[in-house]
Amino acid sequence: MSRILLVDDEENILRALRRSLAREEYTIEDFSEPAAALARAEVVPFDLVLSDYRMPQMDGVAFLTRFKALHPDAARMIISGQADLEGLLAAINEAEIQRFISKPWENYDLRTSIRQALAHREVVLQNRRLADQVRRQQVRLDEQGRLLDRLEREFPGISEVRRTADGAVVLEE
Amino acid sequence: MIPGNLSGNEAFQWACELYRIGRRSAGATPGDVLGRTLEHLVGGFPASAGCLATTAPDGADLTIVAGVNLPAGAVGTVVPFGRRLLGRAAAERVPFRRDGDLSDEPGLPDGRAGRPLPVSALCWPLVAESRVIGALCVARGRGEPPFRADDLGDGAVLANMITLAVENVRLQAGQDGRIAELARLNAELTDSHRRLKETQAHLVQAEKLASIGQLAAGVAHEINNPVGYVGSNMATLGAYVGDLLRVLDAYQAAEAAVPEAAQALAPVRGLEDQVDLAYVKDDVGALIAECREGLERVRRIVRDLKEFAHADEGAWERADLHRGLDATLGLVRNEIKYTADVVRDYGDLPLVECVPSQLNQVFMQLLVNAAGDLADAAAAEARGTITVRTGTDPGTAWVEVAAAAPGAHRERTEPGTGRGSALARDIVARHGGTLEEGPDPDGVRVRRVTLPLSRAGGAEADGGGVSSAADGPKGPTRKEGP
Repeated sequence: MSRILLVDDEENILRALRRSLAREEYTIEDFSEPAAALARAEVVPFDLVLSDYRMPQMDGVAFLTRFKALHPDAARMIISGQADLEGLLAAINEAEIQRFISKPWENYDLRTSIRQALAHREVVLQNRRLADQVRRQQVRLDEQGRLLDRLEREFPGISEVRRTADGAVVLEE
Repeated sequence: MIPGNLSGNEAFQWACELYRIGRRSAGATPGDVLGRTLEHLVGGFPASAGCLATTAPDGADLTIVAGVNLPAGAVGTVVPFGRRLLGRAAAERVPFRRDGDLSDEPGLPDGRAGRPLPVSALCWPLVAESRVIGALCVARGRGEPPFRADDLGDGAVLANMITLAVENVRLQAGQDGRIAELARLNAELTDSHRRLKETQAHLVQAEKLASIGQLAAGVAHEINNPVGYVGSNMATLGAYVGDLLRVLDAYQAAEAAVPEAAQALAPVRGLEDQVDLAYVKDDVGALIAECREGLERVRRIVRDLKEFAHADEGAWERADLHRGLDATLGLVRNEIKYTADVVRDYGDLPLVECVPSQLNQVFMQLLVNAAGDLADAAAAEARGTITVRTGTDPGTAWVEVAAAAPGAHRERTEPGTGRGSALARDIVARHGGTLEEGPDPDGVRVRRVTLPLSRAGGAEADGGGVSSAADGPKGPTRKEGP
């Protein structure tokens, strides 16, 4: 079950977000103070974080940038009623957010955006896992190759299998 | 003292007249006054000719400023200091008499064309406060009795009076000059004061609008939070209510399947009747839909407000004028909707280099004025039509707002006035464009803003340049549907 962190200084927004995500299979935690959210994120990992942009103590970009240091793999999104160009640039370049959702939002859009972000993150992570697996298997293959070479040197021809026309293995005696 | 042939009383009258002439009536030039003074003198003496020369303010050569019986062109002649009769009188500061043929003296007649041939002359220097300010000369012609030695002495007093007159004229001329200069300065000051006041009024207005714009952007942002969660909650509520209704339907279906429960459910029936459950079930969906529609309208207004105020206040950019027009139309919709229908007839516009929030003020003004034109028609419950057209000419883009009143109300044609219009003109001028206004042949009042597509050759916004039709479209063009 994906773990989602919601941050907005307005409790009503947090509750509305929770409601609109209630039927999704997520574990959701919400915070009205970015500092508290960061403290929590140091203890528990999250798969996705959705933060307001304008908050009194710390703006969304600063919060997400610090959150990124804790969980670089988590998907980051901003939800805001204001989108000045500077803020947007910072959100993209510094916090490297995946999506900017404007307030007011459509629940349907929100759910779709979160699903896509999580799916994208899953693909990236799986890609990384598979790449690791390939590397590990390559190491094993290399090991076996060396073993085979040694055997071939000691018993020339041992690594070759001769077959008849119909594919039967020919055992010479 | 006075010309010798005048009696005491006559002499007094003569002197009074001389004084009166010297005071100069309004409208007379200094030359006129000196000329009349001299005529008075020559007539009273009597002499057949006379000449008055004054020094320039720097005290150099003498210039003949008035003459009686002199050849044409004598007035204006320069007589060097110390030369000829006039120059000598001025340089030596001594009056003298001269007899003989004096026809080649620059200040005297030449004896031709009916003018007397001067044979006797008297000359006086004109000295005021030990400063030579000119010289005076009178002459008698052949056939007249030559001047006597006494005449020179009598004339000395006369010369003093003439000196006073000349000095008076001079002072007055100086004063007139200063008065004219002061009047000019005053007019200039008045004008610049008026322009300053105008500019200040525009600045105040612009400042006000700018802060209203910032306020609007801030308010828009603040509104987005509550609208955000109310909207989201409304959607959730819709889903909840749908769920509840389904559960309710399931209960009712189950109830029908269990007849023995009827008695136990009797109070529930009563409650259902009391709250009119059937009606509530029927209406709740519409209620939520209406709430959401209202929220959608709030959202649109906020969006238009933000677009109109344009957060990057005051910055030049290449902008799509249609966006600004749409946002402005969205905001003034309420003001217009009772008086007119709005028709958008947009052409293809390239991006225009402008300060969008400022142009939006202009669009707002055009629309409000158009609505104002149609207000009379609306009072008579006849709706007008406001058509917003856009298009391009080489190097320029134009936006036109046409207010067409229904037939009977077409006579109202006074152009829009007031501070708003002046500010709009100001803004358009700063964009190097023009704002034209006038009814077209069909009696439809048309206001048209024409803007250069880009700022002419690096001209600054506050340069107030004129539109340059030579500027080709430089910016990227974008097709925009109506």
